[in-house]
Amino acid sequence: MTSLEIPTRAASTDTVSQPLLEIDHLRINFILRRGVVEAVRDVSLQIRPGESVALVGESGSGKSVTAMAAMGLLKLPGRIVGGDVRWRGQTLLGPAGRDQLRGVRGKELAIVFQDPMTSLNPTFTVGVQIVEVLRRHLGMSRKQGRARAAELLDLVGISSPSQRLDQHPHEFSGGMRQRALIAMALACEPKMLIADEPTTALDVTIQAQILELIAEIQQRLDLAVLLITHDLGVVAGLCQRVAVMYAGKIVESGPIDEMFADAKHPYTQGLLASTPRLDSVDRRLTGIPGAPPSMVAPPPGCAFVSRCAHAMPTCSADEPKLVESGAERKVACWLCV
Amino acid sequence: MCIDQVQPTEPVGVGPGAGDTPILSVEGLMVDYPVGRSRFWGKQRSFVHAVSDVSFEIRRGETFGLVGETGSGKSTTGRAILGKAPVTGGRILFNGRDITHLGNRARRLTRRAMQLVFQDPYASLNPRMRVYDIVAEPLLVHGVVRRSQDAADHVTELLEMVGLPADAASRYPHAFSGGQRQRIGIARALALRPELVIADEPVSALDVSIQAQVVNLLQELQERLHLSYLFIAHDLSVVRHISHRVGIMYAGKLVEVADREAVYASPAHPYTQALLSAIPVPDPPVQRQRRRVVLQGELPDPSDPPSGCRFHTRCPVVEARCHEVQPRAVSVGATHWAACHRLEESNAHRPALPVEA
Repeated sequence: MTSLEIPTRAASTDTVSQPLLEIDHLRINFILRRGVVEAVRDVSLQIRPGESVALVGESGSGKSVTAMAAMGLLKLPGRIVGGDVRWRGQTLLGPAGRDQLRGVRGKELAIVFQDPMTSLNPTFTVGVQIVEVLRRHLGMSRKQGRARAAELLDLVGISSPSQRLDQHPHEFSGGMRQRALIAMALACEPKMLIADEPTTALDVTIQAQILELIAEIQQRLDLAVLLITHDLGVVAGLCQRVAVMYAGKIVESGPIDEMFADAKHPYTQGLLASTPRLDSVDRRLTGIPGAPPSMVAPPPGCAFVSRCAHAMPTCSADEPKLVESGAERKVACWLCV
Repeated sequence: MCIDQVQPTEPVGVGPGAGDTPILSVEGLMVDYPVGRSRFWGKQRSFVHAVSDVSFEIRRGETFGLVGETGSGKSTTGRAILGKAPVTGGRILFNGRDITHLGNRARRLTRRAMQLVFQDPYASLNPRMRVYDIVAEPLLVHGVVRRSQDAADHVTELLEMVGLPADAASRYPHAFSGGQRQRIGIARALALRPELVIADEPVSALDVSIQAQVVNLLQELQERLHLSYLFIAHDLSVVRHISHRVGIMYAGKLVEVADREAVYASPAHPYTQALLSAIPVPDPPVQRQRRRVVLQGELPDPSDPPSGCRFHTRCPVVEARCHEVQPRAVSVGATHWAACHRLEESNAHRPALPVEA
């Protein structure tokens, strides 16, 4: 990577105690003809400045919906039916949060989506799309914006940036598009980046490049990162804390090393055992039997009960609460109460 | 009428462990897709050289993992074996018999013994057919049963074999989750008792906890039915769990072939080394300490592949000759070869870039 024009931000010591983004008992329903899908059920998550947190789960666990709601991007039939999302203590939801959200989104809180093929407008050049962000949020002129956009492309490792600005997205490869999107997200020097499956659509050697880029940018800019992914391997190299979601709930959270070394929730254990490891010799994959429950009228007890090897009578009757279990760790399982 | 009756000829290709005839051998396979407009008279077409001079063998009861990134030609190789890609050179031998350019009728007989499992279990099952009909269809098409009703025993057995409840037969695909759908696809592929199953990214569309179920099922079925698999995937860690031997493809070329353990323990080709190091390990302390070879640049354009060694544009240990001369396959072990110039002088100074465990 070439020289970095963005000044390295000094660690904001005064705000360390206060979380940047606070998701507080969030509930999201999707109202469909076949019933109400309870996609997110009481999710709380805090991200502090400069911290990188992973939200891990499989398809349908509600991880992406949580992030979309935090950005105010939830679309019908999805609806926030409870809880709150706060940015530096101020709500982003409802009429009260509308102005706050407008000021925060895209400026202080940026997002990178999974699919770099569809997140860029194919009819405009990449330069126009980045300059638009700079003009909108920072009030730059076209000329200033263009110069800054070239700097940003350079920052994310795109060679000959001024020529690249005049190209359309189809002239970029998948990895380059993801880089361009990251550049766009970084345009306003955000405090936090939400990355929703940023490397899932990419080949593994390109994935390695993008992960390296995110890690480097996070360090240089002291950026908070919320990484949403299904891939525990991606989490391992990038994040400090991890929260595991299953069927709309966080079932376990904690510092990454402890979580991976000593997972307490049977789902986390199963997920780790299912993930094929390149460095293990001839280990038979364990897998988790069965499939996640329907989120239309989810079961009353623990949502994992039908797939859990340690299921007890209590599990199908009462729902385990997410409780403290060791330093900074939380688990929602009757085994750990 | 069965393909088994075709007597195998002499073992072709002096592959490692030659002795038993390989169930499949691919020799110097070339596949070129025409692209662009062909003018009314002219033949001014350009070609995408999807597969170029690929050779490997699959032995009976073995899983051969074919790994590569987008555009490496791994799926095209699978399609060529099934007769679904324009083969412009080389031969494909199935049970010793040349099946490269079979006509439709003869092809149909080979199809019985060679079946495909698709990547996307949502797109590969007809939503308007009951599971019963989906699984029974190949039996009807190939005349194993006359009427759909006669296939009941077969269908029950197949569903049991892939771990689906018997009442699944009367339901439609939408009632099943991704993993169960993939089981339906496997049951259908096994209906004709094939010898070789080509599985093209069979678990990539599935969640990780379900992936493991399907990988385990494929392994069980292999032992039970003595199947051979061509397992096409981009995920080297899944391939490690299922394959006996592994071939790595890059930009239409096979760059390295070895036994499973050899590929992971002592990869010889710089691309294999980089690919292995790029895969994140789900173990934070290990992952933080791993030395990663992050490749610069993008995958090459298959319509205009780089000259010489196709990896030279991204290779961290590139030399002058790599731009000009195509490397040949060099043996670096009993059943292990790789195509890299650095291996030609001596086998002593490999591996070039150690990938630590």
